[in-house]
Amino acid sequence: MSAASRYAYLDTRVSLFAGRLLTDQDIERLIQDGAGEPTPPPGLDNEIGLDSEADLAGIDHAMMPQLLNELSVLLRSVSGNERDLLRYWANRFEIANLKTLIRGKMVGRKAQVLRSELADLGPFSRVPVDALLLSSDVAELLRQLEQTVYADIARDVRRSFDQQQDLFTIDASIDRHYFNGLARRARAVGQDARTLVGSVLDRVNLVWLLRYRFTYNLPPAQAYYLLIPASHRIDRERLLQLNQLEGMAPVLEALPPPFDDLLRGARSTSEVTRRLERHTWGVAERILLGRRFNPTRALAYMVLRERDLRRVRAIVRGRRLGMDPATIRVATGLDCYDGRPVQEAA
Amino acid sequence: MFTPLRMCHVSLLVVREQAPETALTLARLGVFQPRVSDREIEALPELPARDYQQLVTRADAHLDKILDHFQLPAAMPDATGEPPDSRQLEDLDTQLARHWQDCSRRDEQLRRCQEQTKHLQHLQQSLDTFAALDIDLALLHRTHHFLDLEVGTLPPDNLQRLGDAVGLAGYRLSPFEQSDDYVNALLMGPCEQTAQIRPALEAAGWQPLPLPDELSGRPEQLRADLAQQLQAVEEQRRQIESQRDQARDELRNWLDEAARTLGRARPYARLADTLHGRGGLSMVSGWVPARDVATLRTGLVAALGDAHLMQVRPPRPGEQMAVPTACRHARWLQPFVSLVKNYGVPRYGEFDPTVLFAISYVAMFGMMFGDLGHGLVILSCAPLLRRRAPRAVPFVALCGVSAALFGLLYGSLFGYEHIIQPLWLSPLSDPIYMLKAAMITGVLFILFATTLTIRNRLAEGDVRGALLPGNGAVGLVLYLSLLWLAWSAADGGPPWTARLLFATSLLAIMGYSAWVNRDTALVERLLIVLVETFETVMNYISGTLSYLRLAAFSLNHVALAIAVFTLAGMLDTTGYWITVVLGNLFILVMEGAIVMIQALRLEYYEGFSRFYSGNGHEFRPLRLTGDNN
Repeated sequence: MSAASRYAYLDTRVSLFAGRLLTDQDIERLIQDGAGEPTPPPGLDNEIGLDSEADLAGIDHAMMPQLLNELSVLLRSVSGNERDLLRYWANRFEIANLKTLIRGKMVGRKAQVLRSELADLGPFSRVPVDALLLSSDVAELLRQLEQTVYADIARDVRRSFDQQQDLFTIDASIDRHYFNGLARRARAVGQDARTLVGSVLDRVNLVWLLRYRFTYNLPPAQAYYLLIPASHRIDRERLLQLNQLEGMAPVLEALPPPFDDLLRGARSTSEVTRRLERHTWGVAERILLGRRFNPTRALAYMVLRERDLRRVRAIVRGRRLGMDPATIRVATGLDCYDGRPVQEAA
Repeated sequence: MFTPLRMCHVSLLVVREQAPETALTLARLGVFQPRVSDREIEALPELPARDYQQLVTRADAHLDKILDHFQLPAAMPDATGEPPDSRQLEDLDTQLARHWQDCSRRDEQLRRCQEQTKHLQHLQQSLDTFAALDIDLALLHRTHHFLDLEVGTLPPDNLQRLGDAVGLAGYRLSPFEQSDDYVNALLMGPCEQTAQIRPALEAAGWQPLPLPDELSGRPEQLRADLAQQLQAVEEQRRQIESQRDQARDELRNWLDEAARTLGRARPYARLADTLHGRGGLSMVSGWVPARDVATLRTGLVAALGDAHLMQVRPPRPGEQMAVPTACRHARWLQPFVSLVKNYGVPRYGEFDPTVLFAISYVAMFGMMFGDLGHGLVILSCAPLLRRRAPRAVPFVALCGVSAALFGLLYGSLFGYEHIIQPLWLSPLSDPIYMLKAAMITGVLFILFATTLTIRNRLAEGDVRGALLPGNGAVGLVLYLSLLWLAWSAADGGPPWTARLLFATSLLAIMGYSAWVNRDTALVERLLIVLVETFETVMNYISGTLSYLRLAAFSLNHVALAIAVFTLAGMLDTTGYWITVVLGNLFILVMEGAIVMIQALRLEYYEGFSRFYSGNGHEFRPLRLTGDNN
């Protein structure tokens, strides 16, 4: 069966959904609307209100089902490795829930408070949230988690928990597990999926490396161990070499293309994060617009859709906190183009 | 029997302190299904049972986990006694939480024992490899000035990454034995970098292996030590289990009492979303079968005295969809009830098709699978299901009886058509007659189904819906005129009255369709009207023809038997009987299953789809056991 016949429905669906994505101009307009009555962005008008009264948790609760509904529509038309990758991508929200649960249990937060912080994943949830919420401590929570699809993560977390009881290491261990699984699934799908997921992994690894080494001052051995083993353009040898460098500037200078260009002159980890995020969006946009009958288009769409929802959330939050448009622009990534700062790109 | 029980709406107003007692009484009586009412939410915005519900949920979770830990069954809730108040419930939960802490600690200890055992067993297995390690093991015991040397285990997934990580500090990690769960490795590097690599080792789950001094000289000693450690772990496990058993014996009665107390608390907790209040008043409303209203009233007076206000009214016209459906059926009808519910629950006031379904299904099965021998075999299989699927017994037995009776009518016994005289006729002797009989059955069934549609719509007060659409009274006229036309076509041409009836009803259906779609564009409306009318006519014709399968399968049954006998006739005596027995088994299993599905298909698609909405919701009263939601 040819790709055209195999992915005809998926391709049409993704193309239809792609019409909902927000352009930079849409985001700019939303930021500028701050003074007057805000105009709802296309595709979000019915689901998410942007009025100043809307509470952030409510917006989060509205966004998640919307994202997951679209994902379930796309999932219907794929099978095998492609479906596995798309489905696994949604696990990131459950992983976030698990981290909230573990953190909450470690500091003894009440089940009710914790529940309000968890995203409602509907049919995408694969853990007994109620039972986990009612667990009396982390040990019990991990025992229960060992009975679910996250048994590997639970075992790994238990090791970290037994040895260090350190939230940071536990979080890192969970994330590493997730991204490792994502890389494995992307490899099974094909080159485009590898490129897109690889761009995410490179970003995560590079940002983590900078944070671990120069914000938390971890020794090179520990910092390297906490990174994701599967990277894309920044390979193992390069990661080992980068870990031994002292200071952010030498690390950025020693990066391979295209990161050397992209990150030239970056002054902080958050700036690096924003530029790399923008780069990932660029990769996703190129796949979405430049490929046909390709299952990775669906993943690219989901990456971009999540970006939009996060940007809208950032705008609402910015307005709520009374931030000026320039700051909101930075928060939404409008200050750089395809990874590079706007002025430089121009 | 043919319609759900008449329901009444009941509103109960009580003082807040008596709300738990009221809930318990309602659960004891088991005739009240609570509902959420928007009007009450506005007038009485508070939800007084919410906190109580959270307490009950928490205590329930603790109790369940404790019972699971002790492997004790859940105690049946006790109907006698008062419901606990919030303070008692909180105390109970505190005690349960404390006991659960003990249980959880024991669970964790048992888990550690299990892991330790696994680890020690792995060490036992790797002892030989240890001995064969190509270094002087005595080196591992010495303290070195510059060299840090250590043997340990870690999960295989972390090996490569940890190797790279410690490499950054000048260390080297050399694996020397690997299993699915662990890798044994030798770690060596400069002493001054030890602090640098420790966090990475811990994050990777590195566990140093304690090497006894005797290892280099006496590996047997190490084996003995490991065996001793294993024994100690096993002993520890037994001790924990014995503590658990002891705790279970000590707590058993207390846990029973706790379960009973919680059982009395649950009804009020289940009303958390439906019981509204303001100040000292609480109100809950819901549905009660009309015949049980008196029982409810008496029960409430006995429990609460006069300190409550109960208002009863019939359902309002706009509430029909909100009223739950309570149907009462004899036990033997239960398997048929399940099959009807599989399609949908009757809406309140709608015709309940269970009895009709049971009779017609059994009759259609018999008609398609008529054989005295096969029927008796199916009948004799029914008691065998008593243990595994007791509810299916009457279903299978009735199908067997029906097949046997039709077998007598057809004169068929295990496919032999000449042993018994047919009381009616053998299907293959006059197939056309059989097809006519099947068609008449279908016509009667469709007429009955359409009449039921009209009745259901009238019961809902939808007069227009009962009269005008294709499945209403006009549709019925259309179908009758179609039948008349078909009948008279073979008899010298249809009379003008039949033609007139057909044309008038067709026009009425088209007019109704055009009126319903009056907001659409003209061309689109025309298209819809044509397609819908065509569909209505075709639906009646195809539906009627669909019943021909009743005859087709009865003929098929005989034809299959002939095929078996033809094959058997080609063999010697032994082969003949083996073929006859296996052939009959094949017919019983394969054709029996197909006929069951076909009969169900006729019921669902040709019957239910015409008259039965099935979009009601079942009456689920508040009870002491189970969840009413």
